[in-house]
This record gives sequence, structure tokens and C-alpha cells, in this order.
Amino acid sequence: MTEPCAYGLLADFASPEELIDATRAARSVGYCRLEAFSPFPIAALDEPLQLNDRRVLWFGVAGVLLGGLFGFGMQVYANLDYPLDIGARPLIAVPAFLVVTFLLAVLFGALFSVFGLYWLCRLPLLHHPLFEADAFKRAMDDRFLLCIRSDDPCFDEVETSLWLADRAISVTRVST
Amino acid sequence: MAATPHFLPGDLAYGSVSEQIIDTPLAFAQRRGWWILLGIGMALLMLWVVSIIVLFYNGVGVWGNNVPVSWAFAILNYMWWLGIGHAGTFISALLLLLDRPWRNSLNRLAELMTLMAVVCAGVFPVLHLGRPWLFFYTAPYPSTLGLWPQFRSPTSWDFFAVVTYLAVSLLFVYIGAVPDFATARDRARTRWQQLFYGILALGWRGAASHWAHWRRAYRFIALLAVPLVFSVSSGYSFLLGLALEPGWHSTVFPPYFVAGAVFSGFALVAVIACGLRRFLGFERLITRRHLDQLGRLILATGWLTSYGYIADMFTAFYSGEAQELHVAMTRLSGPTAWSFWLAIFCNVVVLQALWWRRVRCTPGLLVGVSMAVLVGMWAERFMLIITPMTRDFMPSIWSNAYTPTFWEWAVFIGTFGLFLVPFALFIRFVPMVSCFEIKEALYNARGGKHD
Repeated sequence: MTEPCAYGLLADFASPEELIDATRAARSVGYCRLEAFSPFPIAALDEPLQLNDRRVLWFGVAGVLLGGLFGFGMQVYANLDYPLDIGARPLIAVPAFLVVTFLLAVLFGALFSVFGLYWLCRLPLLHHPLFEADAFKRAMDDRFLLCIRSDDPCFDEVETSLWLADRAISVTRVST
Repeated sequence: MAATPHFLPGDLAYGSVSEQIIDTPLAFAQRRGWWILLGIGMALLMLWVVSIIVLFYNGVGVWGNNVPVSWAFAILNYMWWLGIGHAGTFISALLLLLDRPWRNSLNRLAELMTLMAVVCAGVFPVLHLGRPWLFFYTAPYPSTLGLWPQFRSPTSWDFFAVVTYLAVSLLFVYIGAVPDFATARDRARTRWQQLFYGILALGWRGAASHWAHWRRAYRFIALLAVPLVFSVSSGYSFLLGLALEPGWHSTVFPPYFVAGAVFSGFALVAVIACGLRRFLGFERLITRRHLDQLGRLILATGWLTSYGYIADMFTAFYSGEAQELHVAMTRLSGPTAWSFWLAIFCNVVVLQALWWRRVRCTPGLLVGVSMAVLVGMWAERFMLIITPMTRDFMPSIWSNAYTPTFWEWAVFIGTFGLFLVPFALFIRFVPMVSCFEIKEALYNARGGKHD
């Protein structure tokens, strides 16, 4: 490496298919610290990038369970704390309590999955080295980008940029 | 995926989608029209503020509520607004799970409509309290009184329903808009815009690993939101079921209220969609086929609501109970019968115009029918809520005395300002069509072949 402070190399593609092909090719050559960028979710990238992390769902499920437990527990506690005996009707009225239990399960489920989403994405992060690259300006517009990071074991600035330049419209060096 | 149509022009390029949607708030061209819209909204909002001040200064006595008719306008408007909100969640969550890409043109505006409709609904229960400053008594908190809310009561369920619905709608619309804010940040021309959209975008980069998490979270929240819609409007039908009044106990109420809610909401979505496509020139993004589809949804949910009318009336007559019959007859021919027949005329008779494709696909006609539906649904809530209270069990308390006062109308009309002012601000600053989801629909439909 000529300069040790490179973040990686950013390749620019015009279509999602070229990006998917390049990502597959990069994987098969042995690159493993890759990130693809696209203006909309592309399911075909999950397989080459091994994006089978389902933790965000577990955040949501945990929220649902916790919210339900909290909702039900709150109602039980409130009724035991100040018991109102109305014609000897049961103090813990399970059918009536289920509405608030359900609503709080939904509320916590939604809050937890949003929290989980941003936690797993390490966002909010208002600045990132990639934002310095001009090519990245169109990452959320109509371009499809692939970044091979410099900490990849197979990364070699000259070799990798030549390899990418074979496929991409342009290759940019991103410094940290 | 490619089999379900998105109704967008096939030759639409990704770049021109961003250009149309994202550049609208960045370089807003319709300034004159927008200021007029905001002005109307501000005038209505001022009316609302003044009527609130009058209400809080004098108490609920300025309204026409009296002892048998204790709920009247406030609860009627609460249910009407909350019902409208449901269509937004329905379009964005249920149609997402059913994989209907044409929803991508309508989900943003429908979700923003939901958000504001829930706010408009949520103010009414607070306003109709005798001591509105004690509204927080409905929240469970460890108070020095040692008292808790009565969790067996639908009024307590309602508090949780509104809070949950507002929070979930807000989260859903926000995480669905973050990628569009990121596009706006990257296309922004001024420092001020870069800061504004940059902060809203939370640093979204469109990384594939982020999208993978995003897709799962978005669908998960959609999965939670669909039963939430059903539970919220069933919940407020239980408000009626809880009370003693005859005519509020039909078992058809929960599904009847859900259908009516979604029906009125689709009508407002159609009005807003027609307005926006003309105002912002989104004819290529919200096409006539989208309006056609909305018209069909209005027609279908309208028939579900009509079934509610039939079942409700049938149950009353079939029960053979004198009081039920009396209420049913009062609905049909009493002093407030206008509300029943107005509902039937708007929601059943006028609705049938939507059988014609020409009506569904002509924005002017669709807006006309939708307006009729909105009026009809309001009349339906009037007929359902107010008429039974005027015919309680004791003949001595039968009353024809309820008439809404000026200040009741003022609060109600004022809530349109509460809706319109934030909505005008959304039109100005938020991409009103989901840009990245449009691109996604185009990509999926092209099925791997790129132009």
C-alpha cells in the first residue's frame, strides 16, 4: 500500500445487475470485507454478501414479549395495589386486560425493532469517510456502488483497483 | 414479484424518479398555491384555537351536550377522524405484506394523513372533559391518590390505543422516509437543506447490510400494525357496547366500525392523491390506474359498511325488544333521521357510481364521490352515536333537544386546520411519494433485465 490511510476502493456501476455480478465475482476471488450500496433494497445481494442476520426480528420479538409482560403485569399490579371489589367480580379480569396487553406488546415491539434497526446499522452516524467521495453522491439516487475495504486480507491498492476497473464505470480511492 | 403490477410507466429511469420526487421539496415551484393552502389551513387553525379558548374559559356548557346526549359531537368527531386514519396503515402495512407494489405510490401520503388524523382525533377526548387539565388521569402513573385507571373500561383501552397508534404510525412513516431524506440530503443544493435532510436521514448510506436489516424491521412493524388497526377501531366500538343505551349493542359493531373506518380513510386518501398529483404534477407517479384501484377499494369497503347497516337494522328488528325497535324506528324516521338517510344516500347510493371505470379514473368524479363518502361516514357516526342517546329507556328522558352549537361546529371545522397546516408543511418539506420504493417496484418488475 502506498498510503496506509485508505478506507477502501469504491467502484461505481450503472445498473443493479452489474453490481450483483461484481459482488459475486469479488466474493469468489476471495474478498470478504465488501459493502454494496444501492438506492433501494436489492434482495439478490443477500446471498453473495451473506446477509442472513435476523437479529432485528429478535429485537422486535423481545419487544413484543416484554411489552406484553409489562402491560399485563401493570394491570395486575394496579388491581392488587388498589383492589376494587365490584360485586365479587374477579380482581384479575384476564379477558379485559388482554386489550391493553396487546396494545403495549405492539408499541414495545415497534419501538424495539426500530431501536434494533438503528443499533445494528450503527446509525445515527452523520459523517462517514464514504461521503467524501464524489461518486457516493449518487449512491441513494441512481448509481450502484461496491466498496472493498482496505482492511480486507486480499486488498492491494493497485491490484484491487485494476480488478475493479475491469468491471466498473469508475473506481475511486476513499481515504479515511 | 414481477406479476403484480405497479402501474408506473415502464420507461421511467431511476434518476428521473429522484428528480421528480426529491427535487419537489428541494426546489419548490408551486409557491403561490402552497401559500394559499397554508393560509386556508392557518385560518382554520385560528378558528380552532379561538374555539378552544372559548371552550376552556367557559367549560363544556358552550356545547350543546345535555344529560341524555352527553357524548355528542366530541366523540362523533373522535371516531370519524380516527377511522380516517386507519386507511393509511391499511395501505402501507397490509398491501406491503400482500406484496402489492402499486401501493408504493400512495403509502407516504396515506401514512402522513394517518398521522395527522390520529392527532385530530386524539384532541377530542381531552376537549370534552369537564376538567381538561386533568387528562393525564387516564395514564397509569403512581399518584399520591393511590388510584389507577380502571383497566376493565374501554375508556382506558382508548388511551392506550391512541398513544400506541400514534407512536407506531410515526415510527412507520419515519423509518420509511429515512432513505428518501438521504436522497434529498445528497441532492440538496443549499447548506440549510443539507443540514435539515442530513439530520433527518441519520446518516443513511444505502449499504446492503443496512437494507437487509431495514427490510426485516419494516415488514415486522407492518405485521404489528395490521392487527393494531383492527384492535383500535374495534376498541372504540366497545366504548358504545359498554354503555347502557339501546342501539349500541349489536355484535356486528367491531367489524362494522373497522369497515367504515377504512372506507372513510380510503375516501380521504383518494381526495389527497387526486389533489397532490395535480398540485405537484405527479401524474406519472400516481397514475389513473392507481386511482382506479383506490376506487375499487372504496367500493369494496363501502359494501362491507353497507352490510353493517343491514345487519344492524336486521338485528334490531329481529330482537323484538321494544326499546331496540324504538331506537331503530327513531333512526329511520325520528328528528335525527336526516343523518341516517344522508348516510344511506352518500355511502350506499352515490357510492355505486364507482362501478363505472370512467368515474374511478376521472380525478374530478372520484373526488366528488369520495367527498360524499366522507360526509356520509360523518352522518353515519351521528346516527350511530347521537340518535340512541335521545331515546333512553325512560320515556321521561326522551329528548329532541340536542342541536350542535356554533362552538361545536367551530371546534370541528377548526380541526381541518389542525390537519391542513402540518400537511401543507409536509407537502413543502417531505417527499410526498416514496422515491426509493418506486425504484424498488420498477427494479422488481424489470425482473433483472435493465434498460
